Amino acid sequence: MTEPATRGPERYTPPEGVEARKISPQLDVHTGLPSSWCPGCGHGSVSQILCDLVTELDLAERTILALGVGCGSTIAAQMEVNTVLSPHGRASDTATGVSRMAPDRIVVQYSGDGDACGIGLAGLMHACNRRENFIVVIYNNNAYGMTGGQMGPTTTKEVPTTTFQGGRDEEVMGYPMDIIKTLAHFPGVVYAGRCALTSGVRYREASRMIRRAFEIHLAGIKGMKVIDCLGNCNVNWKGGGVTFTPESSNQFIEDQIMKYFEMGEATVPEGYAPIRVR
Amino acid sequence: MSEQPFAPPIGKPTMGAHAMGIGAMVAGLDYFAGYPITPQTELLEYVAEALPEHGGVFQQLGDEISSVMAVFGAAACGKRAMTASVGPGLTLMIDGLTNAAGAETPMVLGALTRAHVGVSGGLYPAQSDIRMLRGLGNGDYQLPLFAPSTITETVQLTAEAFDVADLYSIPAVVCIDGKMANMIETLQPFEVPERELPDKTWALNRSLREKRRVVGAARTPELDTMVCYEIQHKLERMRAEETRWDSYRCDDAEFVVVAYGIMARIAKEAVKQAREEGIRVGLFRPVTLFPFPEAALGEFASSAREVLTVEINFGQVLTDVRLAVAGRCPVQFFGQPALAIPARAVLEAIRRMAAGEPVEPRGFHDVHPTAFHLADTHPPARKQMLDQLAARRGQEGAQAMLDNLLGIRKNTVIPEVGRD
Repeated sequence: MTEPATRGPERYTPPEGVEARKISPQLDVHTGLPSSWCPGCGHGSVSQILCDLVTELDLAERTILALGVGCGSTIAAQMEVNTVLSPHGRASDTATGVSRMAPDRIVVQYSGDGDACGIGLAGLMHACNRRENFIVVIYNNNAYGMTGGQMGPTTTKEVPTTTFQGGRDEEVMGYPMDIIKTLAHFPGVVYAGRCALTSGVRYREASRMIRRAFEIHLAGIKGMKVIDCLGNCNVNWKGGGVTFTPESSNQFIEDQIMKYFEMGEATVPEGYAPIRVR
Repeated sequence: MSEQPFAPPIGKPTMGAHAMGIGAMVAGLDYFAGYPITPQTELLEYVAEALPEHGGVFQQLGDEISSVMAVFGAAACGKRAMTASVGPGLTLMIDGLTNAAGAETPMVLGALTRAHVGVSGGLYPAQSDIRMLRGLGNGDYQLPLFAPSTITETVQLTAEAFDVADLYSIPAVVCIDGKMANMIETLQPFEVPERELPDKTWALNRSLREKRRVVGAARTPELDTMVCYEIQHKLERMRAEETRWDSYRCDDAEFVVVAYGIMARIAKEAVKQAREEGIRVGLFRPVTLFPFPEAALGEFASSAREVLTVEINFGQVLTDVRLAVAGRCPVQFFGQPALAIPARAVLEAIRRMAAGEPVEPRGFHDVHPTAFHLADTHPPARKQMLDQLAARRGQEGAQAMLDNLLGIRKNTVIPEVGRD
């Protein structure tokens, strides 16, 4: 049971005397390795959505992951596709070079909110402005998780962080950045939307949105596809002695964080019916 | 990847900045990303025109950090990719270079150097970024650093840099100073030696069915530690295989002048004149500043009486020269912070060295009609300069600073000032 599943055709060994018949030629991109994310973290959900989707659509060979630095970059251990790792905040720039030199591939940037909206904002905005052709999935947990829960550019007033324990001090730090509102008006962005990973229903909405980004890409519509996934950081939202459980943190997103962020699709190419969100 | 073969403009007048682009095109450049900065813009403009014509992609990105990272992405696909910049831009690009070195990804950086600390107030050429280029960024590594001294050599070494980068899976740097970047010479026929290059089996666009490819510097602490050894192993191999140098009349030389890039060709004139005067002097020119030609210089030094290093900075390769000479003979230095040092000033330094006198290590020769010249001869200009200095340092401090500079200029080995 503990042995991780290997991918693809090697995975199943038929009993002796039985001829194996290949039912599906797809490569399975799930590595089956134990994840290093904290229990209850939404990174696991996004990873599951991406792995399921890429396997189901048989895109394993065409997909290239472009990662920056953050909790999200450990998706490399979960998803077995060709991967490029860049420094913190540079995933959009690296993805630019990769997608320009391998235009037949589907380049997927997977970043946290710090990676994409903090240190990497200039690169991401310029990529949108240049109408680069790749998919960006942002896991927005309102904090720098890998370093222990510091405030980030997207952090809302209510989230307790280690650097602003009473919540975001608007006098000093201004207001949370809505990356989808920021990017949706760029002509180079063909698909932009926000989903959340707080419940089973939300998970299905997120799954549909990410699938749609791939579908738009596969339809040959050139441009950036950006999806912001709200998720918790139940372990590291701990400033000022406040603690969370996975359940309470998900409820907290629904009650507090969603006040600041509009859910659903902001930019959709013509001919696509909107995905309904709660 | 070219749609039509690229032919270098042999026999045509060619600018130094263009030469880098020509070299890259000769090597079969696939991708170039950059951000404009003087004097690199001519290179940017050249590649912007030439590269798409031959099936490559040219992009002008948001900044130098984006440029170097996009080049890393292109290189991770196994393509030949290049970027180029100048002092302040190179400082930003260090981010991507240390990453590419750690990720063992081959790419080429064109470095066009100009003077001054921080963002330059002027655009004087200089060699003051050599130390930065040799020890770029975080981590224990160095990059192969080529310092051509003619336009033809710039083309040739840029083309070869791609092979060296591929051979060692490491970024390679070609460095010329601002003066060479704007200099025009006739491009001579040249040859790029054929090398057997490794297959880029690690590239991202290879099939996943064969095996998974991961390109990046951050692995696990254990793997990263092993890569540190691997990088040192590469540096050892480079020291053995890639060290290059050139010499002029060093075999019987009592005195050896060490200079590279633009300064090497100026110093050569001085050496020629000194030879006519009967001084047995030679010129040693390191072509690679890393790996530094330590053994060759050490050998010449063992039969020399004295070594003189000449740079357009205050001694950034001097440490290597001293290590190479290893106490076999005294090493003197002669340099200035900006602008090419005229040949007659180098000649005067050689004369002093030959006469057994100490060479003043810091001179200043404003070979162009600069503000310094005006400050010396034109009272209103002098007042304006003093006022600007005084805002920060007070009247006395300003006066002392200007007196110091003009003093250096007057005491500098050649008294007269003018165009060289």
